[in-house]
Amino acid sequence: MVLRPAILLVFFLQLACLIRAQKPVHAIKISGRITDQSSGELLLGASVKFGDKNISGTVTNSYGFFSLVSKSVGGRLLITHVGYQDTLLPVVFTRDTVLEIALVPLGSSEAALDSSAVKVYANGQRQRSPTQMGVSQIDIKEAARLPVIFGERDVLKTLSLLPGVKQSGDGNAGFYVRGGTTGQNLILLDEAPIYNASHLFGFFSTFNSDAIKDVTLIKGSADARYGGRLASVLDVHMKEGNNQSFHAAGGIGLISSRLSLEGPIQKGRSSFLVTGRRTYADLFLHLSKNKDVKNNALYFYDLNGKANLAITDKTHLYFSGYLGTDKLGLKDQFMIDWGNKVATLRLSSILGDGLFSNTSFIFSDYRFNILLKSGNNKFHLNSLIRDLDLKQDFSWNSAIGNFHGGLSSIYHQFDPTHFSGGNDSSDYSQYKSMQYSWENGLYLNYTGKLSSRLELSAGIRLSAYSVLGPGTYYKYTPESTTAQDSVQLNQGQIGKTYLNPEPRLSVAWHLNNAASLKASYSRNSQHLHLLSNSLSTNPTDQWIGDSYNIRPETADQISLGYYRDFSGYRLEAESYYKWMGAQVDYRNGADLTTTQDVESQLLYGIGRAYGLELYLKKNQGKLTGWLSYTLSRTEKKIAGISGGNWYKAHQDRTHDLSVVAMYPLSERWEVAGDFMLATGNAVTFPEAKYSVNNQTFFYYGNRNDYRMPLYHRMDINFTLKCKPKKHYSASWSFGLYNVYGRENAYIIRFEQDENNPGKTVAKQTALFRWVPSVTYNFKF
Amino acid sequence: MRWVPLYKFIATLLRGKAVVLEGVFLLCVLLCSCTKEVAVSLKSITPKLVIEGVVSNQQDGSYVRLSYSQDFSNQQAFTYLADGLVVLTDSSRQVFDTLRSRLDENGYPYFPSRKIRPLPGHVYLLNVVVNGQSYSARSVMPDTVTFEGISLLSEAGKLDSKSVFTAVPQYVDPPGVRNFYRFEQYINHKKDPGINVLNDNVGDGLPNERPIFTKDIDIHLGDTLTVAMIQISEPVYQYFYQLQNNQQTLGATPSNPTTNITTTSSRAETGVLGYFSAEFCQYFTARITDE
Repeated sequence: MVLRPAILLVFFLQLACLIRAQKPVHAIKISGRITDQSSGELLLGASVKFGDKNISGTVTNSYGFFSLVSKSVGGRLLITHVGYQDTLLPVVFTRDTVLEIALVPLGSSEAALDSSAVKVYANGQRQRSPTQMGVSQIDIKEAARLPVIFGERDVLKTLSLLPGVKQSGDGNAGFYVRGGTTGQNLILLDEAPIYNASHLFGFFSTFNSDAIKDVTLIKGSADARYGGRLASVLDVHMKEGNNQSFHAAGGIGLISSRLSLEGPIQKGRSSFLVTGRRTYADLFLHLSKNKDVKNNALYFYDLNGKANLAITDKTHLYFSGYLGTDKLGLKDQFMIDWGNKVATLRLSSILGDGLFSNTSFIFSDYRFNILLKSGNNKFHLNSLIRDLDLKQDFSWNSAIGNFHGGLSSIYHQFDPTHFSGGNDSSDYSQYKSMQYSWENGLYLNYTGKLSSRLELSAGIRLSAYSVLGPGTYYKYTPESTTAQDSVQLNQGQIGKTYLNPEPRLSVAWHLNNAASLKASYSRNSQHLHLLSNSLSTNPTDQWIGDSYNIRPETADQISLGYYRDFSGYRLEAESYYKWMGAQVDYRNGADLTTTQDVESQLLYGIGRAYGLELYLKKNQGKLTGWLSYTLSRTEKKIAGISGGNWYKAHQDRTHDLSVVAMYPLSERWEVAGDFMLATGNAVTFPEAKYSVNNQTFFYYGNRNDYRMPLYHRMDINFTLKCKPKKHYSASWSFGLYNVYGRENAYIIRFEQDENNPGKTVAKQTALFRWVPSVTYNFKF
Repeated sequence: MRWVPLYKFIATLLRGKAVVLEGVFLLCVLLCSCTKEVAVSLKSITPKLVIEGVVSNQQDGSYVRLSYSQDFSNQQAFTYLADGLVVLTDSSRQVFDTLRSRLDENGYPYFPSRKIRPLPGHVYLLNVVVNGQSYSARSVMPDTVTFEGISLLSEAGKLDSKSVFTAVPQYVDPPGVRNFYRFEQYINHKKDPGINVLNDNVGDGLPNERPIFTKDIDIHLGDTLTVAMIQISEPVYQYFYQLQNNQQTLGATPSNPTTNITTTSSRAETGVLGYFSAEFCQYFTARITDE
């Protein structure tokens, strides 16, 4: 499936010829930003098109920008966005024009558009192409209406209601995309990678919905600007803050409370946002009479901050930061804490004539630390991954289409999981040296129209990963856990380097105004690998980079899709096939924690995933919602596991169905519900038992040869809007997770009966039956 | 559903794995999860031969036991073999012992050895022929480390009749060599089924500070605790480490432990289960009082 460089070159040459042939004679470029009139927030995914003619339009990109090319000098521009009044703007253009258009939220008493809300600059911006496949945007407002466990709105949990996305466990925020593992999702918060996006063993995600503006999931072919993970890109943007006036919003729930503050720094130009969230399960523990329970710590908090400064009309500086920490333990005896710290400083400027530049400095840090005190001893178990990242992205909107290109350069530091500590006389610390590496990406992407019906997006990303000194790297063979050879690197010395070309191509064929066919191919490579030995998201999961043993993981994906809009409904059908190479797994009986070199515990192999995804959405009328269904298969083949034969991956689920519905009962009451039905995960069960050392043990069949029982669940949520006051609005949210109390199996254990050791039994544990929740949300 | 005490966290921490899965369990308890017995339809496979061979310094501690595996749902007693050719060899001294089967105290056949003497550093061989199929294994008796006793950790540092104790075996690991230990605990003479193995990846050459844990039986004040410290070889450590992993409350994907017994047949269905271990075992018994 690898396109040879020569073929690629020919391909791009042909592309260039095609593009030239399509250039219009008197094309005028109209571009600009779409914002929310009340808050000044940039809106992404807003549709912009010429209203009179059935010329296909465009949508705003992740920075709220759009760009259109017009062959006529006048017309009416129609701007639409979910949750906003449709805006029809008469325009006459004589030259390339930049517009700033503010949309009025639905329910607002203001007129649809007053001309003062439109600012015109003679400049250009870039656009995102509608050719992309496998892209889902989460509507944050819609997500807020859905029922969730513990009443804690969570965008990551909403994702699992979409086709091709599976929740990693009951109530869990971890997710699998098209057969990928949780470590194969690139999770970005304002461009900064989040290495562990979960709190409290995955029952909550690190994304506080109050701070989130938009969430885009790309499970198909992401454009060349994204790279580094095989399965998906989850691109999360934080709100910029209201640049018109000060506001506060928050929520008080059974498990946690949230507060956010936002306002202008310079009215209409600059703004800030600060949000915080903290759970207080530990406060309930303090009420317990049991002293052991009382002294437990069990909480997490999140802090998000963003500032947006307009340096000039054409240059904006953004700073975003996130800090999250979990703490769990028994005071003075045992404590586990973990968390992410990320920060992004982005300079965004319009360089002129459709050229747009984004320069970002990014910092990301994930670490966990376990502390144990026993007697005179104090022990730690910890690990760390830290990134320093510089990104430069240029985009250029021209009459022949949109180009963007750039580079990213990341310096990674890893502190492998190690044990340390001791007492006054003995030091039990393990010495494992830090590991360093340098990851670079260079990319170019083109999006444009080849004809009125055919659109294309083509790109290439070249990724390079180098192991950096100082350090000693060992080489292993699959047969042995003993190193066969080693390489010593000095400070600053570049060791093993991997170079991976990653071509991507998507084409869209518009059958008519309402229907289109799309096809895509993409190749991705992944240089960082998540080692996880568990069935749920675990803070002790560790990241490891390519090395002399670990090669870059690769995935080649082809997909084909059909899309159709008809009277208030949208239908999407996509199918995919994905080949995965150099997949990392661990040996049977691996010790991923105290082993001196964790690479000695790993095995490598290949994978394949294929499936069909159907999505039917109803966006109009009183009843809205969607139905999503996925039929899929995911398999792995790893020398040393299941006799080197293909076996089903843990996340393989044949059928996965979700139904979501929302309905306003009255002016103030609204009901929303969802239903999920899915094949159980593939698991390994015993096929015999035997006795050694006077105890009964089990003989396990082939890896993942059995299924957990069918999973199904229904949730419901009622929202009551309080009577609106002048500067204060509030609502109550009453939810019930698992309405009919289905005991969905989380795990099935096989054991000797405690009362009758001769007898063996299977025991199923379900995590949640009915979980009610109440949340009070406010805004002023 | 029973409360999972926090020391289990520490347990998993010091074993260095699956720490947080126990945490999930704790959370479930808080959220009132439920566990029930279920019927699971499992495949039936041809019974596999199980060989358990031990050369030990304990009185009557060297033996071989042959049995067959059976279906999970079969609640009958296991089938033990009384016929078969079983030969133990001390290859360092060129001593051969062809074992003859006898009945143990429960009336099940096994093959005790009287001639083989346990000596550190000696290489022991096991050869078994059953139904015309031959099996062999090799194990080296580890050097001995003095088992000095046990110290106790109490949960949350308090002492009363409800306190649950955890034992810390006292020994000084020899530096510079790889050592592997397995522990068994008997509470009031009843064996706890928890598997405990330690290596010296952490604390090579230092006094041991790592506790060992019980699975089903808690240790309270007034109990009599006996700890067996068994020094084992690396393949046997790996075998029991995998059994210990499979025992985790919410472990990862279980896998069959890798046996150190080989067979000449290439047919997969003749694969053998079990292990052969030359091991050095020491006991220490204490009554838990409030001193």
